[in-house]
Amino acid sequence: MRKSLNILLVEDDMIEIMKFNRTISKLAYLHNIIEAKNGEEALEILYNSESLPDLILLDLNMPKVNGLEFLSIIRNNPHLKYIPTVILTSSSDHKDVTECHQLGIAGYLVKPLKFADYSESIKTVLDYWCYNEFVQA
Amino acid sequence: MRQKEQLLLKLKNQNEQLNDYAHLVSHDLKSSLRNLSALLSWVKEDCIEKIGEESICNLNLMEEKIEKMDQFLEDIINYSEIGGTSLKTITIDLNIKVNKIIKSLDIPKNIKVVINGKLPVLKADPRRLRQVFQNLICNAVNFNDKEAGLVEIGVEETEGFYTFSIKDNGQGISKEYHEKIFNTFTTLGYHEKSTGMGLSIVKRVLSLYGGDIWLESEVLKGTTFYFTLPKNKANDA
Repeated sequence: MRKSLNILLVEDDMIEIMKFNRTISKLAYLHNIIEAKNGEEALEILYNSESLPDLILLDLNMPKVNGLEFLSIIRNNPHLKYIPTVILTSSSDHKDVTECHQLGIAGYLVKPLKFADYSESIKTVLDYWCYNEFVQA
Repeated sequence: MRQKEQLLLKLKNQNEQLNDYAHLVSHDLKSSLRNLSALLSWVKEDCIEKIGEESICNLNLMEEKIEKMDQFLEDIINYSEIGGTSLKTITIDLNIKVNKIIKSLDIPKNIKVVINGKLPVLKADPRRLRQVFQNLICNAVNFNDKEAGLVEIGVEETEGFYTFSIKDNGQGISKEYHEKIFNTFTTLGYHEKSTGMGLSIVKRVLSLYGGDIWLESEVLKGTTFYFTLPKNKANDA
């Protein structure tokens, strides 16, 4: 089991980022987080960094390149398509869920209303990925 | 004729826009509510030992209001989705489906929900059908005031359609409200989760299938909701 993941968090909302950081700061393991404010910024990070993240956490509703567009771009890129991507959104919209699964995702998490529930679900997702083997380190 | 077609097209477009709009706004508001809820819980966490009981009580009330508003938005999204997305049609065994719905609900121990007889197998959109049964059963359970609550689900078959019934031994609904309760945002009693959208959603789904809904009720003794699903329509749709 791994003790630390490299995570790319693609999220435009400041408070959502605060929620995420507050959650992982209380976890037993120290994960390495890279933040991107939208799909465009996330793509730049992926194209320019030497090592790829283990996991992408992706919001759907974002300015510039939105979550679905971003997902479709990385799924069609032979270099990036193996990175497991978990959707993190407030929309349980049936169309979004279907489209994401069609493009290929490793999970679809609807943000719970309460922070305690949100923290719990993030913790569960990260714990799960700690037990996984990845294509690229 | 041409004019009529154009008008229809225009109406269709406007309707779609309205649905999209309700959807978009509700989602944005939902995101903001998630923010608010988190900030509130942090304030509470940080201050709980420094502020008085009354302030804690107020913070709790704020939390409740946020929860209620979230439920509202969820219902608005559900309602606006009904006409918007196309109906899926699969074969559904209602005996299995309704049992599943009952199991998924949070039903207090003093209330029993039973299915009388055998329910039919029909073709419909599983999500929509779920909304109908779930909302009616939830109402029957949530507003039940009896020590031993009983909710009975049944069906009668006639040539053209199925008539389903959801019967409860709850507080009953007086005649003057029998029409009004199907309006959006109308709720008769206070319940923490009640937004007044449930029956509007049910009615809208049924109207998509050409079904009808009505009720018989005796105040203090209980209510029976009846709704129909045309056999052919439900099978073709």
